[in-house]
Amino acid sequence: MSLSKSFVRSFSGSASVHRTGYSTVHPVHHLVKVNKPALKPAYQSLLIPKDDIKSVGFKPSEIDQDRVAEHYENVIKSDLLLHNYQHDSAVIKGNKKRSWGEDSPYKLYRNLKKPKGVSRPTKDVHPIRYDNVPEVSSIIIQAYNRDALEESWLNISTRLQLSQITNVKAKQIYAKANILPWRLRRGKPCGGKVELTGRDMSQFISTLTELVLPRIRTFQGIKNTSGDNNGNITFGLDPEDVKGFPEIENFQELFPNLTGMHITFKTNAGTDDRARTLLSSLGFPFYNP
Amino acid sequence: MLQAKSGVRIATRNVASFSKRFQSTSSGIWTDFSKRSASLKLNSPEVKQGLLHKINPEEGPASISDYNRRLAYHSPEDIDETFKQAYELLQQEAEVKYKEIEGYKKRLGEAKSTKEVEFLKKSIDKLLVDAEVKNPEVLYNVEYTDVELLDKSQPVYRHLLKEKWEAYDLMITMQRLEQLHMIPDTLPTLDPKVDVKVKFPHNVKEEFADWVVPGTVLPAFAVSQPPTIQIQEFETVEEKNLYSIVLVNPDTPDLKTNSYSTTLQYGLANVPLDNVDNVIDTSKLFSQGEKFTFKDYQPLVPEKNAQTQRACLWVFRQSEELTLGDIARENFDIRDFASKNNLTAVGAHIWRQRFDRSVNYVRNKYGLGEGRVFRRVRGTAPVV
Amino acid sequence: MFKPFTTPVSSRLASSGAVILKNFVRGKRQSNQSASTKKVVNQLSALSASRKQPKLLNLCNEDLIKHKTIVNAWNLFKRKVQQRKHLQLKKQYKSIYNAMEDLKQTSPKLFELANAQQEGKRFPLEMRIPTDYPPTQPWVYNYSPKNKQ
Repeated sequence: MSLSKSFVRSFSGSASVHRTGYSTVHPVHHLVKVNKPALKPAYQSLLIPKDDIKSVGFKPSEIDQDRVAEHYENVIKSDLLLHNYQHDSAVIKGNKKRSWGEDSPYKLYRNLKKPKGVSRPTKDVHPIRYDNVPEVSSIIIQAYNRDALEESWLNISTRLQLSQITNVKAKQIYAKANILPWRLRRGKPCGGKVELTGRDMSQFISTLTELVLPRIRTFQGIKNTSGDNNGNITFGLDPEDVKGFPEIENFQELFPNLTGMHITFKTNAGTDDRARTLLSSLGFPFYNP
Repeated sequence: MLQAKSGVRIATRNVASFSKRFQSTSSGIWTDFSKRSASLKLNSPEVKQGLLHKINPEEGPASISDYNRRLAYHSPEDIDETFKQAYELLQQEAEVKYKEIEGYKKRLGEAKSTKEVEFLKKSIDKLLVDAEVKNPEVLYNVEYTDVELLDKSQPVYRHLLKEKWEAYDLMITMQRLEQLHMIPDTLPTLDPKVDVKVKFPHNVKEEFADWVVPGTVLPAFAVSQPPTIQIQEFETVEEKNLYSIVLVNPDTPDLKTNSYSTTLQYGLANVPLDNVDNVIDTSKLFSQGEKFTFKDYQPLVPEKNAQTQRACLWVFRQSEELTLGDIARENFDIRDFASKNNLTAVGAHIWRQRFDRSVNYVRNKYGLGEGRVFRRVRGTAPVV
Repeated sequence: MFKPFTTPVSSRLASSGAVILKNFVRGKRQSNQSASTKKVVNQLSALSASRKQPKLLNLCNEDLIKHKTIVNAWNLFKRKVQQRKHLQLKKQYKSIYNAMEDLKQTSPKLFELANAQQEGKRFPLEMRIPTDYPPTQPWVYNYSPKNKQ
């Protein structure tokens, strides 16, 4: 009785519509998605994509030659295809999570069992074809500043150091855990992080291989044991090595507290060995520790 | 405005001598109008000169109306030289597309099955869009000239207009239809295919003479004459489609049931329209109005203290010609009407009205007599 | 320093019971921040993105369409180059495949050698990314890798 009442709009009053007590689910009839911000006059200028010259956020990006990317496309890519070619190769299946079985209804929707022998599932390794030649997809640089745990303003210079080197604004990273001996408190800023792609990445690679690494006297190369089994290679630079970046070198008095950094090359190679070959093609030396 | 006109005049005077100096002799598919429609051309010669060749440094860009600003303007360096190369590259690509179109047209002449013909026509339309969508003259026309003057028989203009429509007008319309519960109060839902625009050209005030934004509350005098309705199709219409248009008011007070009933305010059927001839305006109604109209226009005249009423305009695309009998204005069932006549809704529009001081004038004009005045009456049920 | 003709403003205001103006500094406002604080503030402002954002160009309609056309053409050019390279790689892959199939039929022994995985293979460190100004001696003709010496 009360249900049908709500659907009859009465002329003399609106009480039956506004009466509380049960929620109404309106019938679904939306066939067009309405993007509300796009209708707001104040947002119109912000909705222009950043690569449009009319946008306030427009920044010309392709203003010079991308040497590293061109070298990779023109020379290295075909070499890598040839090097990684394996005849009659198939997808090597990774170690995946397992089902608990189907003999009981309780097992049907249970969270999957851990993979056999390892704590987390591993990825499939695909054979290299013309459409998945290994390439560096991005570089992640992370700097940890222990002093910033006590005085958070010290972190500014760490982030600035990263931004100066990479031309990308560094994100702040925060402590995740409470570890008393290290004076680590959850939520305290303790460093910076940048992810480089495209032209910034190419620029960083060439600075690293042509200017910074050759001048580090003790540098033997990236360890052959480095890698996370999925084709991502990491190595580190000391605060002393960071001085070699030309953006820092000439302004050392502005950076009295330099921090070292971890540099991770994210690749789509699938295995560490392929990733190392890829990095060696870009001019990174490797050594056996 | 005066300044703008004088500026253009100055520009016109010098354009001939200037264009002699800077005219390039390039000839390609985009400068050849023997096969292509002339509506793909940029009409203003000064703007065309500035766009395709070089902006005259003595005159400044013709698109800027202010004289001083025009003289102070500087183009980015090397933009003209770069543009020339870019134009050539895009033009070559368009030429390839036009060659493909010729091949398709040959196949169309030999095609037998209707399915193949349909496929070929669709592909030709798509290629026509691809060939012209990067033409700077077309882009300029769509971006900076009056949309109503564009030649809608060209697929590329329809394609670009559809993109614009989907980015704003369509969303506004659908939002208002749903917010004001025109959907599902009148018809269950709408899959929009056409852009429906409404205006009341008898108004002198600019405020009411322009195209009505969906959901606007309009005074009674502003809607006292039948509206001009524009129905813009975005697909190619070869022979004229037939449309029926229904204006209903779902908020007519029904005191007997203490509820509302739907009234038919205006009914048109069998209106033949296509891509270019897409407006139902006063002149059309004068000449052929009797043939189309199955219910004369009667504006909404909300009585005093009644709730705000919605004028819901539905546009249906007909699959065949309709023969309608006498349809009563009161207690009109639009869902029944649509299903009986096998009509699919392709577009809609909505405006609202409430009682104002022009209502009585409009009532008298349409011979509706004095309106009622509603007032609150204490209910008989005891207050608990 | 500017000298008032009559009684100083501050004393007049003080006598009338209004707020006393503190010592007036002509020209740029001096901040009383320490040098180290200033340095941190400078660092923060260098980090902020607004400094690096170039000003919006107010182009006329003709130039906007010109720019759009240039961008369209550049994108078309890039797409074509990319497609050509992809096609080339595809062809290379196919010919490698065909050659290996051939080798498998004709000489299984050689095929196994050719198909053996080369783990730990590195590109020579001397291979450099080309520059506009290469070294005067661009290629070492009697080159032998260091570890073999």
